[in-house]
Amino acid sequence: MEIGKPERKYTIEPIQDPVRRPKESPGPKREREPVRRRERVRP
Amino acid sequence: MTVAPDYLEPVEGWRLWKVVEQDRRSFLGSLFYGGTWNYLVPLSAACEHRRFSLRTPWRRRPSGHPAPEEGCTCGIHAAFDPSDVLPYLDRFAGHRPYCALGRVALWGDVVECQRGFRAQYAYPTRLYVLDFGQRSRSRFDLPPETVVQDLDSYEVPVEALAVGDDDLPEWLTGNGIRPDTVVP
Repeated sequence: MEIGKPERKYTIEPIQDPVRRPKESPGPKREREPVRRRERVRP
Repeated sequence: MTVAPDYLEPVEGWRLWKVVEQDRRSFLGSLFYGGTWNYLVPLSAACEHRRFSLRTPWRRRPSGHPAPEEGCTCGIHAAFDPSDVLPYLDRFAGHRPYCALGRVALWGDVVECQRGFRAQYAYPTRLYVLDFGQRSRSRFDLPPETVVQDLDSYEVPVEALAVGDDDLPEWLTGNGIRPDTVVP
């Protein structure tokens, strides 16, 4: 394949395995349920 | 001594493969060399060039350098732009029932050139099976559905496109490629 003259050389060491990359994004984040306030119990 | 890498994410480029059949299963095959790309295994580059020596002109010696080398043309090739790989389709249309166009991840030692890369390791990230139609197929060839199903074993998105149909020019135009350079 004709791709022209070399311009620079570098090294790439992927953090994630390029062969077994996740196919899809995990999807939208589930919204957190609102935290219920605990009622204060007066002594 | 370990040398720190320059980047941590693979680069991507475009390639064209021939679809080869082994034991009734389809694999990607390099256009210019006999090797096949195995499922779920990165392809590792080796320099195929042979040195010529005046002392022993009858025997060509292996180049002896790791691929890719800046002063050589070795390494796994991929182009920045798909329009640089599509002219090679002419060689296969009418001779082979299928080809695959796609994107490939490249890493390891990488030589960046004017219009593409040469790399030490590569694995496809997306494939388009180009079907040249019934005329190119013999009764011994696998049907397109089987080829797509086989290429699914690379575990990357695979899509079939009929060359000559309306889909391909439309898809190519959408990706910034002039269709007149593609369809033979």
